Amino acid sequence: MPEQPIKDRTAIVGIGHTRFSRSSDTSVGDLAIQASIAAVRDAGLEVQDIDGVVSYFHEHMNTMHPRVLAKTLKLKECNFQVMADAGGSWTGSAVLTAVMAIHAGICKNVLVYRAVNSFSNRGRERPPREIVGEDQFSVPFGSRHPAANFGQCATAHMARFGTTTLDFAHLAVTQRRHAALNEKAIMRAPMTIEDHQNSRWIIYPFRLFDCCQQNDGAVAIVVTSIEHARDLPHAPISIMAGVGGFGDAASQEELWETNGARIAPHLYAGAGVTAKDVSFAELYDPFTYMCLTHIEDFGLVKKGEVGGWVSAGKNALDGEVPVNTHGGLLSEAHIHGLNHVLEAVQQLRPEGVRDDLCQGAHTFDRATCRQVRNPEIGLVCGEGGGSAILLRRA
Amino acid sequence: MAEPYKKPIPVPDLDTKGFWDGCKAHELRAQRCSCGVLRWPPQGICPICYSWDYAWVKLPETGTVVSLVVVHHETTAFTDDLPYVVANILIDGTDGKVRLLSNVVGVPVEDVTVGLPVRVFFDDVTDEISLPKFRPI
Repeated sequence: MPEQPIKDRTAIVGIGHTRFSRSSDTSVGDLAIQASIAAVRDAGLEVQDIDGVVSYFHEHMNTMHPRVLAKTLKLKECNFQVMADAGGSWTGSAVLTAVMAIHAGICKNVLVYRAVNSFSNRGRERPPREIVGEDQFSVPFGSRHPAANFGQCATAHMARFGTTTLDFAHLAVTQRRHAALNEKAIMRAPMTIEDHQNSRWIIYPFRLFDCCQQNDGAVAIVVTSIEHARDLPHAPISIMAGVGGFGDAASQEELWETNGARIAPHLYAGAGVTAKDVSFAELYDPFTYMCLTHIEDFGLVKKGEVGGWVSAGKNALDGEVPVNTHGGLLSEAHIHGLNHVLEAVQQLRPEGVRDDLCQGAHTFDRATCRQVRNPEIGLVCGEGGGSAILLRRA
Repeated sequence: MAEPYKKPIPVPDLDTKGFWDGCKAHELRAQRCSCGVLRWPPQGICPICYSWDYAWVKLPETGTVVSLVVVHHETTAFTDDLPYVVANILIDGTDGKVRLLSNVVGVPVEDVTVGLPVRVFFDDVTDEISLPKFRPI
């Protein structure tokens, strides 16, 4: 497989976000606009420089449509817009869409955003009684919650590889430690292995602390050409490669494997690197188990061995490959994975993360600092390994 | 008269009617393509040879649990059933092709494990719909 022609041809030059909370006290549209304007300013651009807009949602249109955002900001030029109903699997694809629009010469500066009011609007959707489509083989049997869907993959993995809920606990606790060093994380209170193991069952094999949050907030990024990026204030973070195209929780062949295993070879070859070159990874984690299987399926550890790997702390900030350095969906916030992209960009910028507890330069003291040491390449993946990107300092 | 069924019910469509008709007759059925390969879930085209020719065939009544969850938290019409098991059941004699999601009942939830052999029964929830559910053999 050859390197992708897009390799290092585009870069993320701006990042923005709102407060992550359980009460935004504002509309989802305003959240989208706030994060977007913050990202445009961070990029050193004007709103009218944006000529492409990308966003995504999952089944229920619960965010601002790019068409509405473009109209609200009265964008004079909008050469391409995409709104994808692809859920968390689309985290990587959202960035890749911007990359492709720019590399093709259709757009100059593309805004990618995701805004949610998931906590404020919780419980508003009443599930229907008459079930159509693929749900007719799950919902009538009381399998409706995502934890019931992903839990099947988890117990298949446990049966095949001996993975345990104690392994889940280690992942949750490590990510909570990372979140404690993140000023924008919602869940920062210390968590122990015992806290995890004593938390109530939601849907076995998932306890409360295996499940991500519902919250309010928005994240936005700006992507531009590498040539343009060099004229802007921040050091560009280039997109080395990207792959998308899948959307299910598990691969078609095996419950205990995600489609990450299918796209990873294309991703690494597209960037001309291997899994061993990954400095840190921000991997989609709606439930602890899904992050564990992503660690395996993207080749950071051999299949079946992730339980011991996380129990030994290899996913911690000074571990072999730090994973979800911001706390992830589990402890930072659930912004459909675009917060994973935000974190990867912060980690790769020369100045490093700006919202840890360090005063001034990074100390790498894990009581205050969540900056990874000398990161070169960051991996970000979406739900079920459905899409992924590799980023690095240009 | 029995209380009306309040839980979500499947709405058979052109692809799935054959399966739900089978359940009504208390038979598990799946599509077998003219190329000989069984498929699940139901769909018009064979995912292997892309033929549209198929027949509904009767499946064995038995299978094995290959994964499961125990639902402890649910806010819909299933609240009274908590905790309950939803399992993936690989139906015997289908060459690994037919894996149904359903409930395993009749034993305490902690007794349901991966590898457990189960047999189907049909829960006639309305005049039109029978849900295939499973008990340990």
